[in-house]
This record gives sequence, C-alpha cells and structure tokens, in this order.
Amino acid sequence: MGKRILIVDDSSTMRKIVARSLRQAGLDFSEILEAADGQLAIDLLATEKVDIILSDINMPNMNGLEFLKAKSEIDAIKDIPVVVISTEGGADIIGEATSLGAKGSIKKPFTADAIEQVLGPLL
Amino acid sequence: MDITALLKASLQDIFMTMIPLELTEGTQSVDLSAAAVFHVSGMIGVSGHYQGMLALHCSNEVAEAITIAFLMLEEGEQVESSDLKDAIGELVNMVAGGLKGGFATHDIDISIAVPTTIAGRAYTINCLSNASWVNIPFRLESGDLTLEFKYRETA
Repeated sequence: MGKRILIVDDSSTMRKIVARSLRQAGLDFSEILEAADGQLAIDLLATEKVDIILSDINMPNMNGLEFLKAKSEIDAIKDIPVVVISTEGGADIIGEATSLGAKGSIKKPFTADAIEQVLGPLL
Repeated sequence: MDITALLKASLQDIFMTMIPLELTEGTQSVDLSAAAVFHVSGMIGVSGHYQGMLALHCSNEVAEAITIAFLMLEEGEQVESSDLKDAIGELVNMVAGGLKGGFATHDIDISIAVPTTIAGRAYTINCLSNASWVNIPFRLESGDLTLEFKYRETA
C-alpha cells in the first residue's frame, strides 16, 4: 500500500501547488490529505493514518510550530515525520521547528526538485 | 540597505521559480481609484524592526493570469474567485518572506502576519501616517501590478 501524505497549509492555492509538486517529483505515494491549520491537522490525525506531513509555519488558529508541539504530545502520532514548508527560511524559525521535531524544511518559493530532495529520503 | 531592491528580488525570484510568466519592471502604478477596473489587493502586516504593510495590487485580469500560471491550470479550466484571492494572498505572503530573509542578512528582524486579500472597484487602503513608502510598478503581458511597502522604523 502506498504512502499517505498530509499537507497542512491555510492557503488552498499552496495546498494545490504542493500536491502538484509532489506528483511532478515522482515520489511514491498513494494519497494526499489536506488540513487548513494545525488544529484541523490534529483533528484529522485522530482518525486518519498518514506516513508523512508537510506543514506550513505561518497559519492562523494553530501555526506550524504550535502544531509540532501539540503533535509531539500525542503518542499515537508523535513519530510521524514532519517537513515544514515556509516563506520564513530564517535559521531561527527553522531551528525552532527542528527542535520541535521537524525532519526537514523547504523554503517558499520552491520547485518540485526541492520537494523531492527533502521528502525522497523520508518516504 | 536598499528595501526596493530586496522587494524586487523577492518578487522576481517567486516568478522565476513558481509562476511561469514574464515579469518586467513597469512604469505605471496600479490606480485603485479607477472605477472602471475591478482590482485585487493582497496585503500583509509587518512588525518588529519595521512596522507597516506590504501590499500587491493588480487588476482582476492580471490576478487571473497569475492564478492560472501559479496553479498551472489547463486551458479552459475556470479560475474560482476563492482561488484567485488566495493566490494573490499567498503571493504577497511569499514576497514578505523574501523581504524577511533579506532583512535577516542585515541582522534586522521582522515578523509577518497572515495575508488578507480584498477585491472591488474604486477603493482606497489606509495604513500608517508619517510612514516611508516604497512603490514598485511591474508589468506582465496581461497588465500592470504594483508592489507597495508602507513602513516605519521602530528600533
């Protein structure tokens, strides 16, 4: 059975672009799920199994850093790898995401190649 | 530090990487007060060392061309109004991210908010008074777009 990928981003445009880039990158996955913020992602993960999560950082309600922290406190989902995708490529915010458990980062704007390079080893 | 150059480089980088349209520097700023044209503006608040608002203005026609290219829609696919507003909001969000990264190389820290998009005819946008103002016109085949940054230095 192929891998399931969850995209967490408040921008529906960006969710579509990330999904398209995943297909262009030729990565091995079977399904893409979407959530519009960190809290909706936590809610979705209560019922859906996913293999990897791509999350924006700058989101309303629950941002990407808060999502990483909340996820790390739930045993059933804490080990699912998360890659953050953000306009904010600064070392401080990426360092904070990494300390909260992120396994990689992709800076917007990005290409399908950038997605493949970061996600390929994790899938 | 040349804020205009940072903003230009940020927008040009986004178009080169993710929006396959030819973006050139323009001469004509978008006139939001023109009642004959339906405009779209993406805006995002900035705080920290600089406080203010970054905005991108264009006609609905230009916003549609950007959305089609951004989402790589097939010929004949309809552009939903929600996608169009979201795409312009995401575009200004990414420009702000590039600006934040540019500032960071000068050890200047800013924070950016969540973007907002408005659309309509003959509107005005009021931001800070007594603020510095950068206004950069660009041109696409489908028309003009303007990047605007109104800011005040707080530190």
